[in-house]
Amino acid sequence: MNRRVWIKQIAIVGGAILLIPACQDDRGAISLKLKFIRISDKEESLLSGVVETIIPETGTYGAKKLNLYHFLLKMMDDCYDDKQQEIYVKGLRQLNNYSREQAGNSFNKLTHSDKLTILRSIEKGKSIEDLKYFLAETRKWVIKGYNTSEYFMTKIIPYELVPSRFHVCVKIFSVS
Amino acid sequence: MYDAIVIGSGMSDGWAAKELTEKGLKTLMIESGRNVKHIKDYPTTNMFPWEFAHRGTVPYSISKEYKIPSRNYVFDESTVHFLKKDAVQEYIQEKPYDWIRGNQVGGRSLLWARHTQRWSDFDFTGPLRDGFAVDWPMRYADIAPWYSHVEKFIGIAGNRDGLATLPDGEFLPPFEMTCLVEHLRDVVGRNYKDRNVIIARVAHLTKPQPIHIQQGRVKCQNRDLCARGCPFGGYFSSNSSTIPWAQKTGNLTLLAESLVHSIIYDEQTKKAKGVNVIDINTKKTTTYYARVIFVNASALNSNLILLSSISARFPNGLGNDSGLLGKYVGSHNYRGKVTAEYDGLKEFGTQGRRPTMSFMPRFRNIYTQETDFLRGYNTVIGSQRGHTDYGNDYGENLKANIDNKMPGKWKIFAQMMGETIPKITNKVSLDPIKKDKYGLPLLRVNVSYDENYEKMILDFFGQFTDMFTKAGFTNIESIDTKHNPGNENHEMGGVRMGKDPETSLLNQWNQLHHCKNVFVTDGACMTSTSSQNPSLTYMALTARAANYAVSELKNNNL
Repeated sequence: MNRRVWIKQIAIVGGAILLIPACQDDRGAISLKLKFIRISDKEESLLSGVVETIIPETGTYGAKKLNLYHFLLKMMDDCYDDKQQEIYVKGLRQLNNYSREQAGNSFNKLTHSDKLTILRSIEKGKSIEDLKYFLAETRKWVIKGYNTSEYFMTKIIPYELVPSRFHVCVKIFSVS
Repeated sequence: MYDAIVIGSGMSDGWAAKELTEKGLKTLMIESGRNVKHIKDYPTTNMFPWEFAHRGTVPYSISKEYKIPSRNYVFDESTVHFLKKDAVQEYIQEKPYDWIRGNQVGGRSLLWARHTQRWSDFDFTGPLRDGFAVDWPMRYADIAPWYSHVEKFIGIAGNRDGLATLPDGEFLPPFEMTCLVEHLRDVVGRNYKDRNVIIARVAHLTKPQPIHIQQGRVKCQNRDLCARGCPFGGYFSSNSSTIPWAQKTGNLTLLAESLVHSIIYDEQTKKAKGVNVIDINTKKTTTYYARVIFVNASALNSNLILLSSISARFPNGLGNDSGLLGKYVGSHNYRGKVTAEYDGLKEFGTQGRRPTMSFMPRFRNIYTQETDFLRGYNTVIGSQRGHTDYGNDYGENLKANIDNKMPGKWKIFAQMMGETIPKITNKVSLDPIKKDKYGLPLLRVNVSYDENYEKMILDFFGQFTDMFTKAGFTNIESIDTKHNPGNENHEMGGVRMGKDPETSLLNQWNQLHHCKNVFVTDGACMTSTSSQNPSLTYMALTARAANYAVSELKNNNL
């Protein structure tokens, strides 16, 4: 092979390698880029189902509109060490088994009220420590994502950067 | 050649620079951290909560470089850039010790809690009466005019409470107490004749005076985001106040990113003549000369610099004939906290935010020794009527609780601030072999809690549980944070003041007994720790010493 052609072919193969996504495996790609946590598209939709169950849309925006599940994954990916991330993902992977045992179906196939029943029961469950950790962390960050969102802090309970005042004792309502 | 060198740029250094430059001394200020200019270098100051990518939590890739300060309350995504990374200056913890350090011009004056309570003679006579440390070489009357001098310039909000244990100062209008704390104050007043709940005195401008406007500072806006740096200059920091003030005289040269290695002693003149300074970027050493040197590098680093300043005359560290340099290091006892709730005052709440709290001056062992431990504690008391609890549920119920605009229960907490007993066994020293990347010996820190400390925590828990119970509070909980020593930010001692050169390092003017043109006026000089937040006292001691230095220079005594 002529040297020039050989170099050209190497360059093409090299370029092709660069095009392969960094976390390619047998699972589908997920909707955001993570540095450490590896989950599949199916696990992503399970997680998103949990997040929407915790903060559903009511008269006010819910998890979906506020994209809380991306915030949650960013927190888990950026703010935890590898051991904690491993336990978190293990916990997530236990959820469907637990749901099948308790309610006869995988989590996302349950009705909203059955999903709530499952979440409420996890705290009291036995030998599901990773699942408990997963749920506690998820709940914590989804709440934080909600109550510190721009939406919540401007529309629901306005946040003041410069309050200029502290009223030490204001009459807020009368007790009947 | 300068008239004066100030090592450090924090709380006390700004005061040294201000006083010295105002009196016409050409002054060089040397800071190992980077420069931080008022407002311009406060990157997070105007950010809304949702603008922080992690809503306050510091990402792991960053926090793992700040293991020590990450245990401090001030550490978060909005302040991390004002703290020192562990690797910037390593030290050896002979026992666990959280050394909380700033790494910039202004030091921790950007991060402090801004509480500014004066000491009284009950504090200055403590060691003499109770037989620990050594007697202070001064009394309240010596420092009172300097407290006033500092207070007028920095601006202190406070109420004239007329208490012997907590002398009044030069006050701007006070912040107010919440109605819950007023309730506690009344209950305490009815039940104890020697206990007082007052509003804390804090370095905030509640009503700026012409001297504050001249500094470019305006009224505190109750943002309670102080540790990000305040664009209003609503609280005192060296960055917003003393350093720019000194710069305006034209007599200040500020040298940042420059690490003092040691002070040079001149065997002929028997004085210090200058300092060796390492440029932290090029690692090149330069020597700067001056007639007088203020060593205010923060308590433990002032110890380190003096210990590293070796000469034929002083083989064990500058001024260290007594062998006590680095010993009798003290701290404060902040481990105890009592929290509670209140079901009353249902129709009232609080609105807005504020940067301060209420305060109970020390009431233990004031006139006589009455407990099985020495000394006592101040207490900071905070209260607020917050939001309804979110509860433990999920879904619509949880969401309703979060969206609910109804107030929750009143909450109150008390945080102890105890005096500790400096001991010869609580000490810092230089590692004989290990050096850091700049060639400075590593500091070995050996500071631990003692029995007096533990007994004081139990007393605090008991007393506040009683007071809270009498006030009708519920869910009263005593919490021992188990923080490591150092975490309370108030490291002190090692270069203590005293009358006798055999048992102390500094005289009543903060001069080294054996090298009179070297002054130490930061936390390192403290003979005992009292229970007050110490910054106001450091600033007053500094202003007093700086003015003394100026007059001694004029009289050719230095």
